[in-house]
Amino acid sequence: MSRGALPRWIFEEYRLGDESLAVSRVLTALCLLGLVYPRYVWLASFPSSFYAPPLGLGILFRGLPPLWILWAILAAAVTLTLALLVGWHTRVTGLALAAVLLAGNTFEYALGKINHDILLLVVLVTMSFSGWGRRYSVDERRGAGLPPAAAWPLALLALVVGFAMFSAGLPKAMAGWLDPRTQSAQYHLLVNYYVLERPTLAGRLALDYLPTAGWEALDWATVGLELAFLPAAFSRRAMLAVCGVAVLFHVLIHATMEISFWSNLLAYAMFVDWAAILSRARLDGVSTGLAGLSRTRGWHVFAAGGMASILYGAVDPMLSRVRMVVDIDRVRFSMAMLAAGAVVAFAAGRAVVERWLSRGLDAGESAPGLDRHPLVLFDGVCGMCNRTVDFVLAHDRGAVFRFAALQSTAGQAALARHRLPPDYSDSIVLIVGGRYYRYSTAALEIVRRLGPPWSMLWALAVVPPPIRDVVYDFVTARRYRWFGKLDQCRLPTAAERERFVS
Amino acid sequence: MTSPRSEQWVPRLFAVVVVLLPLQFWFARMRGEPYPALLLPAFDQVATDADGRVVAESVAIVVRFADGTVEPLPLRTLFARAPSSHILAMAQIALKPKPPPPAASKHSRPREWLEAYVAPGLALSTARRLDWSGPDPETVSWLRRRVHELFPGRQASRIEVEWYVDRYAWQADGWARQRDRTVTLEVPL
Repeated sequence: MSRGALPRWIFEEYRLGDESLAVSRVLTALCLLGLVYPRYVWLASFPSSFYAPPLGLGILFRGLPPLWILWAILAAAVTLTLALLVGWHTRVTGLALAAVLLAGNTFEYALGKINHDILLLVVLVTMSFSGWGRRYSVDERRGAGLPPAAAWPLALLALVVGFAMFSAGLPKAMAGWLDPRTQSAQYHLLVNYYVLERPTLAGRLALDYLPTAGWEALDWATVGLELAFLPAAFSRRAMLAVCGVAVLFHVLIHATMEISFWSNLLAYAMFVDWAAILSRARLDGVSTGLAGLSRTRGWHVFAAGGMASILYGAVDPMLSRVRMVVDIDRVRFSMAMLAAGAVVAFAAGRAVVERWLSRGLDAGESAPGLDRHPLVLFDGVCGMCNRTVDFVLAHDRGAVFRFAALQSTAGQAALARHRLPPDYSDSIVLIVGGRYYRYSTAALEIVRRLGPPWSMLWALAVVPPPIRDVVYDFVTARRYRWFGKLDQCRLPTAAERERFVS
Repeated sequence: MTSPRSEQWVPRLFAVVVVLLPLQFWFARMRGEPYPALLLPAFDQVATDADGRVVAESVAIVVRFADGTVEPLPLRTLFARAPSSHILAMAQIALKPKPPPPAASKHSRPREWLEAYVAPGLALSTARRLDWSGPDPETVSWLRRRVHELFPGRQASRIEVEWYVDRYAWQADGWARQRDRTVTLEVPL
């Protein structure tokens, strides 16, 4: 039955795989653990005479709660975040975490300032219904009772993000941001630089050198970007494009004003197909590492939560000494941005370089089962290649590899599938899913999957492929001379037979 | 996969959200921003004077000691336990004298009942944001403790919180600031 446009948008537009949703869940938890905590316990350093809550839950109280309640809120938040990280009762955990953070924020924002990180709570509530605990989680290991994956929570999140940005853009347009006689972005940068004492180098350069027309263009661009979110919410591709521009915008804002809208960045991250990105960037190790989360036990969460809460609580008073010199929260955000930038640059650079230099690396259709069992194609009459196969068989403790001689029927079919010539024998070929690797890259990809200590050789991947391939070519060109040539292809023993594709 | 049940209630949830979002936006514009609310900061205050100079409020704090010496006390140091996002707002709440309130206005009886029995924070918030009647005794003793922590072994006699209006104008050699004091809070320690 086909759906109308609106139901199709609600139930289908934002459909993502379980892996992508799970990566979003892990990102959310890591963001909280690395950027947000410790929180709340600092409130106990101030008297209740600072208490001036906005309309909301805060007006139900006469003042700030005692230290033990603030500690309890922090401990609950940290423990629930760890539970979210490992996907332990994920849906309930996400909703409970949102409730605990709401309680803590109610007190923290009663001291005259609301920090606009509401999108974090929206992410936690909406994504709890998305099925983001179905992979890389304790829930996955336990199996039973997993809630089904759903696309509508992401559509709802997109709608809320669109409206929230609209709520920022419309008042700007009404207040004169588009008036060519006022340069509003310049005003806010001045206030940040001089009054709020956030003297950034980028801010200084902008204040000194950006002409009036540039400031006015920034005013228009800001309002335009914020208003663009709402219509973009109705298409995932458009939303991703607007979010991409907004990431650059937030980086610019942070560099000049040190205002870090980390909760916005987190909300944008929910729309990303992380599985595709990890696959494209060849960051298979991330998936392998995340799969380890499912081995966590319930008591691990509580033990780690207790210890982490004590640690955060102990660190909090020390931060005050650091804060007198530098703004530690901004520094943490800057470090996280730098780390994220480094990972993206590494992944993008590696993918580009490998695509350029891996001599015909290509994506093709994968044969069934090859995602789980990489296929090694080797020269069946080469003594060195056969010894290599023996080595891999001996050290492949998980029995993940399958093998086929290049000259065999299976080998020929695999070569054809990846548009390699049937007489190909230049190097060993490793096929993983829809990708194949050759030359030194194939060798390194194989040892990488063998586990320690052999996987440590993967570090050689930092050497550019053209350089390592010179060594590889030198050896393979002399393989028959050095290791001999067989008259016919190797026949697997009875024990090896199930590892060889016929 | 979506179940037939979710096919029914999820669109209704979207409809409720679509109605509520503009309502809370309107409420925030009329009555001030509540928390929680699905709003992001508008940054819509753009203050310039008649000459086109950018106008902003700032604060400077000094501690006077019994021996006649004076030490500046940066806001970031005084409020070191608080995140930087909060410190100016906290100073405005607790350390900034406000103009005297207009002639005594009486709240309606339901509001008085609400403030007395259900929402005591409402009256406190209004008083601290608008109806200034001098620094709260709790704030004064906190300031005394804090100054003692920051200047151990020295006898502080009073703390002065000076509020300014700064006007910034671009000149040939960079940004020039004209600073005018508006109000000063003196707290004997």
